[in-house]
Amino acid sequence: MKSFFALIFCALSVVAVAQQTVQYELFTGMDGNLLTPAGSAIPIWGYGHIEDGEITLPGPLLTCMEGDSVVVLMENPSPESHTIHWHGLDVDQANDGVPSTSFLVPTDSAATYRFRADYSGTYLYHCHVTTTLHLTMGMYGMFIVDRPDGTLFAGGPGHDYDVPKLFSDLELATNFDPPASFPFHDMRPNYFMINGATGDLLYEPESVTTYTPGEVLALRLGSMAYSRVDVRFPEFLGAELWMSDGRPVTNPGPVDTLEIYPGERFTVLFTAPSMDATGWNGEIEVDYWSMVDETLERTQPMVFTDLTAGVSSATSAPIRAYPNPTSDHITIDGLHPGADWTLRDATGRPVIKGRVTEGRLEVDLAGKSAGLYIFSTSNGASLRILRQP
Amino acid sequence: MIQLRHNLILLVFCLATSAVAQDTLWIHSGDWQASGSVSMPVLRLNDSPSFAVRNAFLAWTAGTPPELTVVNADTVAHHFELAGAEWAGLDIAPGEAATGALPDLAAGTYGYRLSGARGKWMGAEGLVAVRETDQTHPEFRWNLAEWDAARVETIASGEDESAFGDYVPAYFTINEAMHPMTMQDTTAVVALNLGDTAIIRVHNAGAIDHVLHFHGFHIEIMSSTGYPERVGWSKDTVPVRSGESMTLELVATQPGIFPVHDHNLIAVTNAGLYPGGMLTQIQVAQ
Repeated sequence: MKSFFALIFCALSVVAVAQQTVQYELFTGMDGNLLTPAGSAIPIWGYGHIEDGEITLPGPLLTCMEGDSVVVLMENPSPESHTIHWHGLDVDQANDGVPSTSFLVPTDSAATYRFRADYSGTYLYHCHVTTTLHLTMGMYGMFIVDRPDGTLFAGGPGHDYDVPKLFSDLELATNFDPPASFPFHDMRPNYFMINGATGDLLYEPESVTTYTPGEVLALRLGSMAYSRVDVRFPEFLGAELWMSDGRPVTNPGPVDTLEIYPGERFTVLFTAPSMDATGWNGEIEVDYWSMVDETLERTQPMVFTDLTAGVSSATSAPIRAYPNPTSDHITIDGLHPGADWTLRDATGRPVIKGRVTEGRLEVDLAGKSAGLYIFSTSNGASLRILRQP
Repeated sequence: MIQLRHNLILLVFCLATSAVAQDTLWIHSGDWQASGSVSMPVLRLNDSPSFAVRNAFLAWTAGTPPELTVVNADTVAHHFELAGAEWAGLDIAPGEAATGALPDLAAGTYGYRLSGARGKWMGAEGLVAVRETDQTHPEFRWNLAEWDAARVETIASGEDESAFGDYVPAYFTINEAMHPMTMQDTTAVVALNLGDTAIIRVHNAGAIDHVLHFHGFHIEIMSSTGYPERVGWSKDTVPVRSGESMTLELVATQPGIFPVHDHNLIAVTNAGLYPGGMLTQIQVAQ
């Protein structure tokens, strides 16, 4: 498994050398929906990839390598003006996304943001138009800057892969009736999310982080919530805090409860444990505290699954994928016909779904963004795939 | 222009220092016009015998703490104390004065305040700078607070905290001013030349936590009464919990105008209107 991830990082090194400019094409929308555990829909505003044609909450995970130039086209076909503020990336004034000091992107127009990602780390992006409203409506996402050698920062520790977890909340009444949300000083969130999911949805495959024991996971934690978020790490995990706001902390070390205020980001490493050996239930609890009256609003779990745990191996089929990494097609062997399969991006969002009809499956990744993907089946098989540019 | 602003800041700095040299603060009650239609009875600690909306700024150089006299022009007794520092404080009867030696604190930023509900909710809380002996960088200061007019009125009318309803602050201030008035405050707007280094002192005199987000820059945390383990960290989003203080260092690495604001986003409003509240700027001239 280690050699597999070494291969990933070698591949990413090649990517970084060959790809000095990273381009994204996004659009904004004000007509999206967020699915609740009960199956109902909450109206959202947000960002989406133009090629996908739909907005999501959170917006697409954006990634690049340290030192890359980043070019983001933003089209705005929505009824109101929007921007993108690159939160923490210290971009210049022109690209800062603040209407009064940068520029607005009015309805039916487009604009391009350009900046260089000078520091590896965890960042956010969000609309800076009437921010109190546009954020609670869902206009935000995470931006991760990695390094080709797999270290968190120059001279820092390595990691096998990123686990992005973006905490946020919303006030249901506002999302269902935005004009009625005025006055904005009295936002009272009552719906609390991790990567846009809440409650039972956090146990669905697209929300669960899968791992093999021994892998070093880099939790990329950020908050766009109105609440303060406290992440409570079980002591036996040995979680270590290494970075905050895209910079190394001066005193890295063990962390038990991590307070994350709105707009803050942290990178926490831990070596994935065997669930069989430790008895870990795979959950790290996250508390949402009101910033106004310090009441505990909600506790939600970040959910992890050990791919080698007994409960999984009983139902898992041994599958393999090749070539991996790939730049277009990938073949997956060892599948059980009749099972449903899903390919998810690094945030857990499904990008392709299907049903296995024979033991071998060809998946076309030619139109997909470069990065890490998770392939899983309804009978418990799972593996990671790296899509190269 | 920037040099003029620096001279002005230096002048204000000297005035503040000279005020502290008098070693006297006055407890005053008065009215604060929060908006066109909303006025609140407030309590302040001023550095003159006259009421001012803005609390005084206390400053001294590490190792040379002054003796302080507090004159109580209010109608009730008060206890004057420091936030983030061990000190017995001063008890002052109405119409009386009390004098004591301030403690010899390590260089950093702290708060002062009147303890008790009247002092807390009516806003008698300000910022203390204990400067390094060799501090030469321009200094800016942000005393953060938020205001729920109903709670202020409740306390001013003599009722206690048991009469409070839900906390719904509607006004959010830096140095007792809301955006856009914050832009007139030369001690708050961080105006620099490219390459300059600034010292920014922050105290949270409010009842809720605030989170300052810097556009365009990371700052280094030089001191913190609430997060001492974060001294030396470089951050762009800095929580300052209620009653806590921080000293931040900012290096002007790029030219331009960049907002600094509370990312507790209810606090960038005035009576619910956006933008407003805790919002100021970093202005870096080429």
